[in-house]
Amino acid sequence: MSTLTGPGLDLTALRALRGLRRDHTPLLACIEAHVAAHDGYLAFSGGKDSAVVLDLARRVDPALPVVWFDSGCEFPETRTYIHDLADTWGLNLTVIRAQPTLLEVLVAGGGWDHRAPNRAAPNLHEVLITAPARLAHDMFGAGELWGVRSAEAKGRRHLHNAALAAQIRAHCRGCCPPRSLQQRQRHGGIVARVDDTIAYSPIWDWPTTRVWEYLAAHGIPLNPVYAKLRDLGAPEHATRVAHVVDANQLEAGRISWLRRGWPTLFAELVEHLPRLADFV
Amino acid sequence: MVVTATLETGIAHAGPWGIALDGLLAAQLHDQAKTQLSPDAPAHIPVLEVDDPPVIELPLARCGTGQSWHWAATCAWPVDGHSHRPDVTYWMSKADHRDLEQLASSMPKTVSDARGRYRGHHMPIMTTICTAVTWHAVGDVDQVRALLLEVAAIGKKRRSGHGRVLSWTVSPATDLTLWQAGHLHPDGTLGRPVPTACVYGQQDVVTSGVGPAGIRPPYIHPATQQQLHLPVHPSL
Repeated sequence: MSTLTGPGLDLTALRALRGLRRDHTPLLACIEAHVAAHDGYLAFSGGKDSAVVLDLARRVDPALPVVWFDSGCEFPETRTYIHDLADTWGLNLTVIRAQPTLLEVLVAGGGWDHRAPNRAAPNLHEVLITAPARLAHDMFGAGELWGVRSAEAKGRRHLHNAALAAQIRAHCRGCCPPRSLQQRQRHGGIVARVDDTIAYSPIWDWPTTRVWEYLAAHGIPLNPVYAKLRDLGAPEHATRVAHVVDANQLEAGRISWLRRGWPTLFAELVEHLPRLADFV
Repeated sequence: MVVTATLETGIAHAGPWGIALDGLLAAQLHDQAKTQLSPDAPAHIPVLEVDDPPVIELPLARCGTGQSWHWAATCAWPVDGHSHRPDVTYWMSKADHRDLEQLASSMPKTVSDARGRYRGHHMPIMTTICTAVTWHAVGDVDQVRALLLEVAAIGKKRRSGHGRVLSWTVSPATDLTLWQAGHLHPDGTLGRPVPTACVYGQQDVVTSGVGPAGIRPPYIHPATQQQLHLPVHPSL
């Protein structure tokens, strides 16, 4: 029996072929209209979805402000990837670091240490999302481009469905046929918040396969965390580049992958968050 | 000496490198000590609840001095299957609500499967598929063999059939120097976490960098954590 050493079918090339067939002109027009109406910034996490939105947005406006919200508990590869991409693509990058950092909040709460009492800690949503976003909006305007998709989670699907209904009620005065694809494309993905900021995700209704197709077709460099997780054997749903640790997906093996792929980072975190070892 | 465990299917382990021989031996001796406790002996205290865990004397040589000494034994090295990714299977758990109703005198309105103490789990088990794993060590061959012969399975999830050992072989390694036997994998890369003093002047030894790790059993205990040169894992 002989061993095949070649790739056989190159799936990335196949994805690229599929991705090249798509016309993104209407999406680029929507992005242009959003930026023209609201200014604002693009929220870049270093993940695959926001990389797609970043590539679309820079085709519209290469000088668009790009903001990375650094939680203070990110994979080391993510930090390097974002700064390298900013250099390569000449991005107008701003880094807004959470104060206090995610790690400081987790330690302060005491919930991650068997021996520590539970203590009052800052609200994570406020620390990681609300306060940094407020700062970014103050700097760049009310608009925001982000790479949030309905297919990622049930909550995001509800968010987009509710936002679409609200947009149709407020703005669709017979401009497109009811319940049509045209109506979804024109009014979908826009989330108007109570603080008068407006977020738009051009890829809100994309399935995950389409994201991979786009990345392959346009040769967009990916965060190396994805390749590392895949090499470890992590399934698709576990290949996420979000915070190194928080309360999500602990019972789905998130810390197991961390320990296997980043043993020293895991050991350093366990020193301050001993209960992490319970989730391996 | 060279220690070889012939395996049924492979070994599941959480860390990136294999399980440590000194850890295996210490666990055996710890278990033996527990079984020999008399009924009126003080209650056993789990090692993680002790600030300074006692050192269990092993039939191995020591390397180093002060707080940075370690047992002269390496971590497991798969003899084959190096080109494969870990085989990933999953263990799952879900609270049996009917069972909880029978056990508890009163129940809350809902017991969530998604959050809290009784949430369900879907956790990966990463198994290195191989026919055998091997260790290098310096010590008493007969005593090591006697301890290991009682070990039926190694690694994680042994009760689920993972890491079943078919046979143990412990034999002297005349072709290895004492330093090689206490520190290196069969391919010449670093075979265990070691302090800087151990690799001083050994520029050719491949490591996977420096970071915090346990230096001796109990490896998971905070008191054994030090900044060490880390071993190489065959799948990386």
